[in-house]
Amino acid sequence: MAQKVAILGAGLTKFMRRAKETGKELAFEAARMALEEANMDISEIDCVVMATAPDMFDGVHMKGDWLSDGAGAKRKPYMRSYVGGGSGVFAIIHGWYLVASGLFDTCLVVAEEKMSSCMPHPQGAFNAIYDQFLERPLGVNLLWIFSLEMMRYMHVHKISLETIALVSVKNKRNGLDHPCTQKGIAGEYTVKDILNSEVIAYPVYRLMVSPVTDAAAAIVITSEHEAKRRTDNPIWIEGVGWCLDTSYWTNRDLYYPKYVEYAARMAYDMAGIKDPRKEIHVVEPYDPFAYKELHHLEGLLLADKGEAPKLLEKGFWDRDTKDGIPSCPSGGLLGVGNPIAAAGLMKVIEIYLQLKGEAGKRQVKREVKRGLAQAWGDLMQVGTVVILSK
Amino acid sequence: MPFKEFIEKLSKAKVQKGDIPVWHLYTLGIGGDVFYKGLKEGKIKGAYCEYCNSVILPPRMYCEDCFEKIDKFVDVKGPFIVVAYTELYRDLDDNRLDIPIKVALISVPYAKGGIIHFLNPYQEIENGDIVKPVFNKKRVGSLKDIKYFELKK
Repeated sequence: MAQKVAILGAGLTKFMRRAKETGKELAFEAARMALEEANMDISEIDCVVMATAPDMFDGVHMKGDWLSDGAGAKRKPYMRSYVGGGSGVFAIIHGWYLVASGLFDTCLVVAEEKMSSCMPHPQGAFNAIYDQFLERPLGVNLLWIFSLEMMRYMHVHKISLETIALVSVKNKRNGLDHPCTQKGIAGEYTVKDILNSEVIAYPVYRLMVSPVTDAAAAIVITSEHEAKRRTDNPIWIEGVGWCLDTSYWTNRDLYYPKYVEYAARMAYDMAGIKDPRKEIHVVEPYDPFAYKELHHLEGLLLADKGEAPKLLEKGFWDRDTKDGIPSCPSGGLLGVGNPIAAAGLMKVIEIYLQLKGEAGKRQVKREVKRGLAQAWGDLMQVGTVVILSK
Repeated sequence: MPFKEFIEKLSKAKVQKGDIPVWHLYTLGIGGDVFYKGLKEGKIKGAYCEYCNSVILPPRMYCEDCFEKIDKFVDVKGPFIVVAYTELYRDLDDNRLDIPIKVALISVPYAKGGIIHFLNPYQEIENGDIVKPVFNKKRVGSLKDIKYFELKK
């Protein structure tokens, strides 16, 4: 029987296009903030988990090891979590099983990304995640799969560009209230503004894409007895789930993220959730692209296939909804920024703050007892899910 | 048989040349900026951690032991001691070097950490010897503003 696991503290650096700090220094800043909130010293941390995406971003091979002292891991059990863009949420899953297993009582989970080092653009690194013989000779980058996937999703469900653009409008507005938002990302936009931005790879427009970002995030998790000793109001990790689909993107129907559904079902089962649409009160799905939020909300079973866009039009996912499920109240990757691994952990932190009632201007209007954060990535076929509760 | 040789002749393997199309702009960071500015001034800087009362070499923004932030930086004037040295006879591309490169781990007794740098290739320098940095006259804020370390007479 797994022991219960709680979150006691969180830290998040400012999101920036180019931070003056190194990746280690960013990791330190976030980790230090999380320890301070948990009122803990590094000596009280039993083990450390680090999430960080491709080595090619920082330009440091085996950067998990290189980052370790910035994560407070000197002479501690330490391991890197790595499932590409899914790493930020997978890191807390990783920390969860280290503590839930009873092996450790405390774990510091850190996520770092320094994408600005990668020149001329991190898309060059993404080129190398594709097959050397079947795709790379064509000059493929990450936009290819997203534009094809968005096209397939829109075609199957007959979704308009205007509806997809509403995701950008919502998240960029929400991001205005996030203290860590990257300069120039959040704002009051109209659908027309979104569709007047540059087409990067049709049907993906510039303002439907999250930016390149430097940042770090961290969380302190503990066993139940440590949590109860230290706080009267812990936030619990109720369920975790993850799943990888085939790495051949030609071999899955792009209109629906089955890997997210499987990850969600695993987490719902663990949390004892029978009806997620009633039992999940706030959600942070991964939104590096506008359509992806809707795609993921359906994969999370929070909407029927093809229904998430219709609910979006009705305001069901808005932050101030009374009877819907607020989605990306943080502003998400479109409204705050996208430091890959740190973006996923930022989403976990947002749910943590919402449950604590400490999200400030971003606090959702409806009552929240349980929330979900989800990330996605790797070869665009991994889903990682965590469910938190009061 | 535990192993199977799929290709008997390497020339029969079909290959395709490729690379990962990126290069990098590395950020010096808070600690690195102090270090490089110091080198430009002909100084070796360290960080001072007030929590463990230690000098850290090269300077860092935080102490990896105390895990506390550092905002005090000091000049480190030695003594610099050779902890271990090696002589390199081949370069990064496996070319034989006419004059071997001497590299050492250099520490200061009262400081945590140390510096990896060249030794004067024409001097006989042993483990435990006290050395001093020789700075280039023209310095740009680079690790190679130090030409090498040589024996302190």
